Amino acid sequence: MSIQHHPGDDLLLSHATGQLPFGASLVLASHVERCARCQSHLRLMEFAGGALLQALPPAALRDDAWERTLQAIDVTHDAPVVPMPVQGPPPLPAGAAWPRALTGCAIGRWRWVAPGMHYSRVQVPQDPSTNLFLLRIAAGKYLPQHTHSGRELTQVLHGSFHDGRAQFSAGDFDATDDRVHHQPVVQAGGECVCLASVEGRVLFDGFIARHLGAWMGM
Amino acid sequence: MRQAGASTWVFTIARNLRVDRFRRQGGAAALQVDDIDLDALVQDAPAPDALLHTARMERHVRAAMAQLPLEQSQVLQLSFYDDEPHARIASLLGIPLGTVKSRVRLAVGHLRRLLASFEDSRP
Repeated sequence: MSIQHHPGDDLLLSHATGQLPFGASLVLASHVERCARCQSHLRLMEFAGGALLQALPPAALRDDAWERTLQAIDVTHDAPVVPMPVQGPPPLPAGAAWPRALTGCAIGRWRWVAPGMHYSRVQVPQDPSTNLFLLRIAAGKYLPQHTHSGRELTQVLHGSFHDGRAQFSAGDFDATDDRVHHQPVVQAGGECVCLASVEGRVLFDGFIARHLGAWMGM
Repeated sequence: MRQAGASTWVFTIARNLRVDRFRRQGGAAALQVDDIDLDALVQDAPAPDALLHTARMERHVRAAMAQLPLEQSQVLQLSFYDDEPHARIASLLGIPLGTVKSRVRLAVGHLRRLLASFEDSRP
């Protein structure tokens, strides 16, 4: 199935200029790596960055730049660093794969939250405060109605859900904030796995859901 | 850096170094010359044919950017090299955040249309 929902140009531009918070940039990178359209858009923005770089006024190098460059070349290096694989990832449904963007992250086991609903936190070594997690929800189950105090980015890794606005399937990307009040319902036919980054808090409507969300760190 | 095809490469390296530095320092500091790891420049060097394609694309993108309306190129310039998040650009220019986002969308759409034919001819 082709990808229907992409990040907007403003988000892609923030990613291209390196201004997104780390968790958000990992969700966005997880989308871009499987989306030819967004790869092409991101490449265009990087060309624009290169073009603007060339247009900048020249700046003087420090006096010892040449010596420092030669010294850096002379240093013998150990074997090239091989990127760490995703650490300890819990099992995914058949046909789903971990995004390459999560390389080096530690993913905990699936934790039970409610019948048919599991979550796992993604630990990012470079930025332990990043609020990044995975949700695995069974067919026909739903997240309680909620909104967000900040930006929430979601990449569907497997399956699909409908939240009253649209259907989001594997490969689709969604960006929500305090203007979106929704209840994602997983579609019949299979479970759904999503990667999500949250800035601020997820604000659940119900009393029990609010406490569950606080316990999950959402 | 004036070598053809290198400025996009240098841009992406500088961007990645800046992101790494921000992560290590909790989002506070600007990139210093001392932080630059020369190995990164060596390991990611593009192949000659890719460099040739990039050089051609850079030329076309420069030409396309020169055709952008001022208000659109201004938003791109602020995003890339004045290091301003979109909310700050909005207050700087005295326009709503939604207008910044729509100018970004228009600028990128404009560049994309101008470059579509060149993308198709990629080796």
